[in-house]
Amino acid sequence: MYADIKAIGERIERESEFLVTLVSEIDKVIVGQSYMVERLLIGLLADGHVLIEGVPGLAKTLAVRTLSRAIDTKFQRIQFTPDLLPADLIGTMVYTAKTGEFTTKKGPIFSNLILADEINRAPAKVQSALLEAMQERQVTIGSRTFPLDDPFLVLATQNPIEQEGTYPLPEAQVDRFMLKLRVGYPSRDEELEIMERMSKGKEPVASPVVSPETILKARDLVREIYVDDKIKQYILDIVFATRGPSEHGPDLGDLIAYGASPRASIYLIAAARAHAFLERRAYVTPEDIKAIAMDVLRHRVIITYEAEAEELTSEDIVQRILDNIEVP
Amino acid sequence: MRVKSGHIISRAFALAVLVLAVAVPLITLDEALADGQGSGDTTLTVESLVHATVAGDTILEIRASISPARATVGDRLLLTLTVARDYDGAVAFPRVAGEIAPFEVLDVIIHATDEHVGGVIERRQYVLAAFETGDLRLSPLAFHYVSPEGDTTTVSTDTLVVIIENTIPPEELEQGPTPKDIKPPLELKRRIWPAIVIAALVAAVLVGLFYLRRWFRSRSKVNCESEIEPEVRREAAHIAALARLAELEHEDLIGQGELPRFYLVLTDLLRRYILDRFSVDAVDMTTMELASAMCGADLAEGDVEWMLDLLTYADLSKFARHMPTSERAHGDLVAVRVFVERTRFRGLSDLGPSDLGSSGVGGEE
Repeated sequence: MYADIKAIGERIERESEFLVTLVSEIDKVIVGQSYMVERLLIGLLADGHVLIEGVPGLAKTLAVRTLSRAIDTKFQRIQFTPDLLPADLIGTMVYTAKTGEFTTKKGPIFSNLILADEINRAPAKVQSALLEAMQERQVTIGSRTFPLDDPFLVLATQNPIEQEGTYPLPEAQVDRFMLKLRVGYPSRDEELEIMERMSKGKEPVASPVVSPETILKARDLVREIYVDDKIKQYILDIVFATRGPSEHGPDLGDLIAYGASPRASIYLIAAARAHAFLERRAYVTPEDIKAIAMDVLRHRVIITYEAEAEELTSEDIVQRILDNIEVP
Repeated sequence: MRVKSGHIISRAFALAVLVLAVAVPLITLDEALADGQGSGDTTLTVESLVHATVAGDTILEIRASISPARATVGDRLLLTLTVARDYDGAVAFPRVAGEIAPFEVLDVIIHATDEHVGGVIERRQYVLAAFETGDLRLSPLAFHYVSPEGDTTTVSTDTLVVIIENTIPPEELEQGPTPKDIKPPLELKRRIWPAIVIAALVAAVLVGLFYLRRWFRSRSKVNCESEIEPEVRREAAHIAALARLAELEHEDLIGQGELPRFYLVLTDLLRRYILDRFSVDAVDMTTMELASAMCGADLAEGDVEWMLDLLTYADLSKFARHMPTSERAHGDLVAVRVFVERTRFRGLSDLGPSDLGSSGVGGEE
């Protein structure tokens, strides 16, 4: 049996070579932010949408645009504004006077990589239209249903400050994002390099180095990565600890209002496989689970008012759970 | 047109019959008036009766009446127009709606033509209302008689006067403001000090409860921690680990070929020993986290590398279905025992690795 895993490992060694090229191409444009780039790749490999949260100016949009350029795939950036309509996103029926017929005009969502910039600035009906498309991977315009392209990945950004006039995503809709990233400021050295690069005048641009077919092939391989029963039990321990901490994990009292959904378990295992792939491993270890658990769970654990009164965040709660669940 | 004298007599007789018929009390609209009558005198009726001879020998009688003659604003009034004539010719009723200001027409009832001996009676009734007060006048209403030859003659009624009174009695109107005037808001006496004192007391109680809760929580945490005596645990750590190692050896999992289970038990034993001996929460850490945490621990050079190598190899067995070799398993069993023996007093005294002798593990190999 180990031979099978070994064989997968050898295939991973061969077929993950594109990652080196891809990352180095992204590094030409993005300084630092390795955490964000790695998570974007996990989303790409695990076929899960990513929500990126960070204050303005942290290269969120630039990172997504660079990734899409490096992959040589169709890319659409949609700036979410309060006056955006669902039809602006998914498309609509247009009357052609010449023929006297209605024809379908597809919206920008018909692309491979979608950057939903400042997703919380658009009203709920637009968010719903996008999130429904993310879940169903198809769009209905008029009476016809159109499947979306493959790969189809939505990378959404939102700003945690300036909440006036925004439409915060409801928990049920945030749940559809596999990962929610919190992007922080670059280090001092990284910021120095950013300054030097940007002061040269010409902004660096990434070139297409990976085809969508390579990504789809890698996805198939990621799904073959071995996950032992002990790892699955570990995932269940973590997820159940968010639902009933006193019964399944550390006693967190009444700090959690709602725990993670079964979607969390599904995404945990998928993202852990992708993380193992990035580590060129053919099997998942607890390291992979712990590495991605925070990004998978932080938007799925809803804290209580008591937790807020204690100035605790969902990240604090998830960290406590991860620190107190026995690793296999 | 020439009329014979005998014929004129018979016509005069017929008109007398008609006058009697009109004199009979008119059909009143009790239903219409019942809910509209105010405080006015409903028994009085103002009436106009006009007799005219038109188109030679045709006698026309027009009666207009309003009941009641005295009412209050908004009450319903009934205007009855009755025309008595002979069979010949036709009478056009006047236009009433919109023409009789300050009265407003609310409803119209047109009765069927009533035929009598010698002539016909036509009757229309209008339900009116007035929203002005005083002596209101209903202007003369013009009726147009058209003879069989086509000649037209106009006959008008007299002016009718109806008294419309205010709903408020005159004596109250003279007094000035009416009882329905809006009263100014009541002035409340401002006594804010009691409210401030109560609010301050409530705030003080809430703050007190908050700190009391925090104190209880911290106290319970302290109690939980004090239940474990570190010194006792540290002293017992190596004893427990050595006992489990002896048990593992006794089970002979290596000999039985159950090497994955052997590594499961061995790594668990090692993690728990590290937890007890070095107070590093190795049980809840991954291999890399443990290696990173142990870098700061009081260990001999190379111990961390050895531990990382052992745990990574065990991870292969645990998570990748790798079948370890017996030789490696024997070696790891011995190495763990040596590690436990060598670090049994680590953290409790200032004893260095050299004080405990060489072990063949880690950097001392």
